[in-house]
Amino acid sequence: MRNFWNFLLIGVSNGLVYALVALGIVLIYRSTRVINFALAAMAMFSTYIAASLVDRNAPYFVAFVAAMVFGFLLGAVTERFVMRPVESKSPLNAVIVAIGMLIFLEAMAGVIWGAKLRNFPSYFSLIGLKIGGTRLAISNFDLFIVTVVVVLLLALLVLFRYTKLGLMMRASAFAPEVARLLGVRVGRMLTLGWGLACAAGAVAGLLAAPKVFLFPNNMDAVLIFGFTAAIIGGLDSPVGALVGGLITGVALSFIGGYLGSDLETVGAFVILVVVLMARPEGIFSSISARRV
Amino acid sequence: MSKVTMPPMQPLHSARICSMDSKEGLSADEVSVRFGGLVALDRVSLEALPREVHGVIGPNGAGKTTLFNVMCGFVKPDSGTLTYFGKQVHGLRPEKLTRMGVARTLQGLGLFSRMPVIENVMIGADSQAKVGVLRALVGAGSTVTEERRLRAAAMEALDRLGVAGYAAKLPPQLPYAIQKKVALARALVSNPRFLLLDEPASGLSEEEMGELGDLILHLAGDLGVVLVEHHMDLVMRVCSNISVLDFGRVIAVGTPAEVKANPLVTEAYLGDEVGA
Repeated sequence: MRNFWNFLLIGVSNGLVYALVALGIVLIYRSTRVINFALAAMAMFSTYIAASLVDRNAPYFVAFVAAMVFGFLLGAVTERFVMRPVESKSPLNAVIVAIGMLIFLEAMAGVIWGAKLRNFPSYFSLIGLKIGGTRLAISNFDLFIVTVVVVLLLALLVLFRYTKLGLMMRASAFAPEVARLLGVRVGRMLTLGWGLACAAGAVAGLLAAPKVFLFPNNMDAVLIFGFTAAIIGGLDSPVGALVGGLITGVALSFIGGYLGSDLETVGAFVILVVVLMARPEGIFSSISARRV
Repeated sequence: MSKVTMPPMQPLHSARICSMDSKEGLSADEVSVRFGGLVALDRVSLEALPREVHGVIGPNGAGKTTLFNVMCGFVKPDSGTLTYFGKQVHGLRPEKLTRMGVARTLQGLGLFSRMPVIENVMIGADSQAKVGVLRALVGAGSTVTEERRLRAAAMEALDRLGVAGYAAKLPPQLPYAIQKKVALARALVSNPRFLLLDEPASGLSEEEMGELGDLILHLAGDLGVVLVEHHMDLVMRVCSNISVLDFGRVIAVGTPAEVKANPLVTEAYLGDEVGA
């Protein structure tokens, strides 16, 4: 029974990281109808930036914020100069360009930092917490993950729900032409959306790296889990991304715990296939469509 | 059905200094638009003046909506110019023109179905306001004040059209006539100097159309209105000038009486109804 609770807690902690990746995918998909496969590489690249700073004795939190800012800029620049030219073309073009970006960034990371596996420091202990003599599977770092993700989600909620900027971003995502007619600079909103999505991706990279280590394609598996989470959530619902992330994290934790960790990736694909067969529109899209 | 209440209007642009010639406004000059081999507009000119209602009529497919799309920036003309108070503005994107004071309503209304009415209107509110990206992201207090101010402006626009009571509702929950007023409030909330109305009377009852006519005349006390409309009674009642389009060309321009009397118009569009 102790295993059960441990797997659940690890699942929640991992699931929140997947939720961030899913959120990055959702934020971009719902405004530009593009699945940003490059998100994994952008997260990885941002994490390397943080690692380089830490190597140069920068404090952990400075490196953390710097990586977020870098992720934001990388996303914004990518939208403005790489994705914008293919925006009006068929969606397939954008997807191929995104995959090209993934390959490019992973190759560049290899060139700059080498393809070797390296450690990424975590400010908080990775050793399991002790409660009443029993050692749990979750650590201080897991609590840090929960805090960061919850704060980030609340900040985005406030942005989207309670500011004019968020309102304009939502309007641009739902109906860009109408938004233009109302004076919204839709292009800017898209750039900003990509920036925010990739900043979320960067945070996911920073939170995942201590556990998965850092190497040029360290986030590929995490992207697949995040993508699974996004599909479960319905691809255009931020709340769906969160719930999808938690479902994916907990399910994979149980699969890995009870059946063997080799089966986690397979498990993600099984979940993906089952969801796509049973509810291709995701669990949350019908609810959001009916939400009144 | 709520009656449109019209409080005494203050001039919306009293603060703006109008040094331009009052005989200038929003004008299309020799505008042509081709879609592939199809000529949608063939050297069409139209001059809309402040405080006037300019009607655009013509049979289906005559190019009325394409002309609107040019005038609001959706479609770039292949040739010809668009001038706004003496300044060339063709090729400017819709968001830019909207910010300069050209507002438009859509035939399909284009309300955001998943946002409450008040938010729908807020999107259009005060687009000139500098809501800094950084400031909004950081969530500074000024953003909250700004939001409150925009909400108030949106509420006032809804109130002017007598639909403030629906502020919290989602558009699909509302009767069509109310939705139309919401769309109009959304166009008006930015305090435009020109308002392009694309078939505002479609789907309205006789009585609602009467109200709409009053409202358009009332609005024209303050801004220029360009009206694309099929309902002749309404067009003849509110317009001071009418342009008649047929197959992408202007076949007549003039006052309602002149247009009615023009045999070309009778032939192309109005048919037997004029004589009746």
